[in-house]
Parts: sequence; C-alpha cells; structure tokens
Amino acid sequence: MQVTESVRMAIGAIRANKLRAGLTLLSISIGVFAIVGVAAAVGALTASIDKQLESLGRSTFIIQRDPAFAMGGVGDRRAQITLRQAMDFKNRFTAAQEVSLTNFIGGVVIKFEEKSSDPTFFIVGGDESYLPTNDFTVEEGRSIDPMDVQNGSDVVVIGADVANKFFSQRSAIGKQIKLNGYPYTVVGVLQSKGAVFGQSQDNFVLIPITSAARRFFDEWGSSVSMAIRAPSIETLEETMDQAIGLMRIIRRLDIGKENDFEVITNESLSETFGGITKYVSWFGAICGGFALLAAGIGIMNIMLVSVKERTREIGIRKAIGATSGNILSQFIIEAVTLCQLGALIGIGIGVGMGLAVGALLGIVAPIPWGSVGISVGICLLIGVVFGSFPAWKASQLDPIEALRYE
Amino acid sequence: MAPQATSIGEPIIEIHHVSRRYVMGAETIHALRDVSLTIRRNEYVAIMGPSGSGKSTLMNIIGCLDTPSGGDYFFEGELVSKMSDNELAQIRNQQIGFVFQTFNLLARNDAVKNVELPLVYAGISRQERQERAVEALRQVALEDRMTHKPNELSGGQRQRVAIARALVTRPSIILADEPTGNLDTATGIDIMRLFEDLWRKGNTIILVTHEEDVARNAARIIRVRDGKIESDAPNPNRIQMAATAAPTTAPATP
Repeated sequence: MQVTESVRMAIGAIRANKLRAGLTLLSISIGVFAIVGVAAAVGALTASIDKQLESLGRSTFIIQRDPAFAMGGVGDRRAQITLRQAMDFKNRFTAAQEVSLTNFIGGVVIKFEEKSSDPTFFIVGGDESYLPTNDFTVEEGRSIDPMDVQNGSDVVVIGADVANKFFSQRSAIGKQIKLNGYPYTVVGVLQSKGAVFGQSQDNFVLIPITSAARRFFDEWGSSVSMAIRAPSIETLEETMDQAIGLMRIIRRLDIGKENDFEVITNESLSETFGGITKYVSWFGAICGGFALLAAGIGIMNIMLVSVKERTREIGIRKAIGATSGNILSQFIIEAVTLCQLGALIGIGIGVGMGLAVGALLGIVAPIPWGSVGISVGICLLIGVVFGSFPAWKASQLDPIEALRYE
Repeated sequence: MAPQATSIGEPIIEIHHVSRRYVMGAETIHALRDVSLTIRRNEYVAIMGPSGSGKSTLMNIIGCLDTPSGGDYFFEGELVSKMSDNELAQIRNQQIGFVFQTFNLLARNDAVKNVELPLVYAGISRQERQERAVEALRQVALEDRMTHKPNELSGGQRQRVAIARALVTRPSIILADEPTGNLDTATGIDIMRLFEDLWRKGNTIILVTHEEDVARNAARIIRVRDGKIESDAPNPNRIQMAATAAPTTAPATP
C-alpha cells in the first residue's frame, strides 16, 4: 500500500476527531513555534542590526569609552574621552580618510516661545559628517558645516518630531529654540525616518559638537565617540593599529597598561551580537525541544486511545486483507501526519512572528530555514518514536477478537 | 442433487481432519474436533448450528482468520494451515469476500470508499479501484447511493455495500456470517435474493447462520454441533424453492 494512501487515511482519521487532534496539534505547534519563532525573531533582529551596521561602512571603526554591548556591569569607570582629546586625535591622525566625532546627551527639554517639551528629546553633538553617515536627509535649510564645528556656533538642525511639535504649520528656519535653556538658531529640518520598535528615530536635534562640549559636557560628564574611516578595507587593520597607538599616547597610557577605550568594528559588533543571539536561539530550541518531548508523550497517549477506539476498524481492515505491516504503517503515518500538521502550524506562526518583528524593524526578515528543517526533522522523529508503540499494539490485534470488540 | 445455476466445479475448500483447540487457563476447549469437508466452485452452502457449536470457529478457519491446531486445510489447492500471517492476509484479501452480521463498514467512508478498501490493500491503482467499486455497487443495485456514508443508508443498503465490498476483489468464495441477523424480515429476504442472484451468476457462497429460514436458501446444509459435523446434505426443499423463486430473483431492487 502506498504512503500517499496512508496519509489520506491518516488525514481522514484526524478529521474524524477534530477537537482531540486539534489539541494534540496545538502542543506540537507550541514546541515548533518556540524553536522557529525565536529563530525567526532573532533572524529579523540580526538582519536589522546588520543593516544598521552596514551604514557604518565596512572600512569604518569606532573608538569610544564603553563597549557596545555590556555583558554584566562595566568594571572600573573609565575616564571620559573629552572633546579636547578627540579633537587632538582628529588633528593628529593623518592615516584616516575621515574622523567624525559624536556625542549624545539625553533627557533634553526643548522650548520655543511659550511652548515647552517634556525631557524626552536628546541632543547629538556632531560634525558635518553625522547626517550622511547615519542616513538622514535634510528636508529644509542646511546641515551643520565645518565652520559651525570650528566656531562652536549655536546652530541646530532639528529632527522631524521636533519640527512637528513646534513648527507644524510654519517654517522653522531662522527661529530660535532653547535647549535646556540655551538659545540655538534653527538652520535645518530633517526628513522623518520613522520608528523602529515603536521607538522614534526623529526625536533629536543635531548641534556642533564643539557647542555641545561648551554647553553640556561638564554638566553631563559626556564622552565623545569617534567614527574613523580607513582609506580602504585593506588598510582597516593597519589604520586601527595606528589609531590605537595614537589614542594611547593621547590618553597617556603607560606601556603594559590595557586600553581604557573600546575599538569597535562592524565585524566585532556582528560577532558580539551573534554571540548573544546564538544563546537566545539555543534557549528557544531547548524550550521547544522539551515542549516537543511533552507533545510526543501526548501523541502516544492519543494514539493509544485511538487504537483502542478503532479496534473494530482494525479488525475490519485485517479481515479484508490488511497485513500487520499495513496496520503498523498506517498508525505510524497517522502519528507522523499529526506531528507534521502541528509542525506546519508552528512554522507558520513562527515565521509569521519573524516577519512581524521584521516589519517593526522595517526590514524583510529572513526565513530561518535551518530551524524549519530541524523542526520538521524532530517532528518526524517524534511521530515515529511515539507512534510506534501504539501502532505496534494495533498491528498485533487478533482480527477475530478485534471484530468482536464493541 | 440440488439444481445449479451452472455446474459444480473443482474443489475450492478442502478440509481434512481439522481440529481447533483453545487453551484458556488450565482448561483446553475443543472448538472443532476432526472436521472434514469439501466445498466446490459455485456451491451454495449453509453452515448451521447453535451458538457454541463451533460454527464460528469453522467459519474463521475457512475465512483464514484463524488457523487449525491440527489437520490440513487446502484453499484452491494450497495448504493454508501452515501459512504465515501475511500470506493469510493476502488470501483474505484476494480469495475471500466477507459479509458480516453487523455490516462492518467504515463509518467515515462513503459507499465507494468502503468498497474500494480491499483493493487498496491489494495495491490496485486509484482509478481502477474506483471503477471496480462503482461496478460492484452497480451489481448490488446501489448506483444511486455511491457517495452516501453508512449512517445515511438503511440496514439493507448497508449490507448491500458490504456485499459489494466482498465482490469487488472477485473472490473465490463469499463468506457471509449471519448476513440477515440485523435486518427486518422483508429486508432479509431482499438480501437473500441478492445472494441467490450472485450464486446464479457463478459465485460460490458460504452462509453461516443459526436460522433455519435463512439456511433453507442454500443448496447444501452442513449442521455443526459440539465441534463436529452432525450432518452434511443437499437441501431437500431447494428444488421447490428455486422453482418458485426463480422468476422473481432476477435483479433485486431495493
């Protein structure tokens, strides 16, 4: 008897007991969902972060005080990288094609005329390369230019959220707004980039880092981060070595002392993040594995009940010519079909979740084929392993006894 | 001799000194003791006996659902008493058409699917299965009930589906166990007419029953008691029965 025929029979049997089969499917689906869903969500997250890292460029690296992902607490507090040190570095470091300085100050109150905001905005202290590097486009007016940075001018480019809040109907250019009480003149408005994870990307203002240092650094204890672009990917390593050397001189580190700053590349970020996501994926897989084990026992239980209930059917089938092998394979295939239907649902929901997370992050999430394959494989195994005993019991029924069964 | 629709042919079933013992705890039950009989092609035989007589055991052995403890059983010249379970399943599938008292149809499947089932185990292709099932249902005058499920059919119609299922493999014998036991008298007569018709078309029919009225339809009656054959003789009423029944037997309609 062909497998297709058995699968058809199995589907018929499952349809005859929709509720029971449904509940069993559910337990399988949950297990598969844990495996595929977590993998899909992690995949979406990874893809999103890779995309963001790409904007950094492969020949660019960052020097900043703290690591990008802190696993546990940061040990000893490191001294901040001051603007003076950063400017010193920028002036002396000739190996780089470009050095861009950035600094973030959070919880800023913005005020225009009588209207005042909650302290939910942040200030980016940057230079002329901040906007292009981070993929922002000026909608109206201009960006800050090298002269602004050199002079420490009190000019500001405002994000779309700020513009909407204070200048919904009119032009913001030339207006004076107050950042934590300090007056700045608006020279540009940015195009909106939308939200990531419900988190707006437009709720900031950009001012020259020199101005930020003068106004806010002492008060905020801020540290400058430096994005350094090597002339090419080939010279990245060399440029990094030179940058570290120069930074050690500027930071006055003795030989033998460890760096008191972090060097972050696209790759090292990916690696760090990949390490974290690997644990998360494994965690999902282990949870899913246990769920599937429990589901497998459920499958065995349901199949045993099913064999008992269908004793007469088994008798009929045997009487009209089914061999023990036919009955054995029929019930194993039924268990496997049940498992695979559950897997299908779990995969559907899991991949759906991945796509949803991806949509939130503004990317098309990759389908985690590896996890899908593993899930299908595990479900096949579970169907065979936990379906075998009930199927074997069914196949060993005596046709005469089975036909008499009420 | 009883009249035959076609002439009696070669032996299909040859049972020589067959016995069947069951061990139940400390007790050994002798369900059959030294039974011998021969059934030839196109015979119409009734096996009669009260419950506990051993007629069911005899039927199970004839139907290859059970194997004897002693003696030889040849089916179409082949020794089946030493066959493996799989070989027995194949004989049941291809050589024997079972008809049961309780119909034993699969509730979830419609008439065509039920009739197809033996062909599934015979490994026949989907299309041929369907064609043959439809043909078999036509033989029992159920062509307008093809897609009905058992619970949408009357008792008589269900038994007709079961008979179609028994016919579909073109078996050597049709083995009917109390085929009218669950039917009212009129429907029972209807079903017996169908058997009559099938017999006249050349089928070999073995009827297992405890009812005299039913057994009277057969051309030969074997009486079983205490595990032994009590009598085995042509049916004396058969000549008259056939003469009166013949004009009305032709295709029974529901």
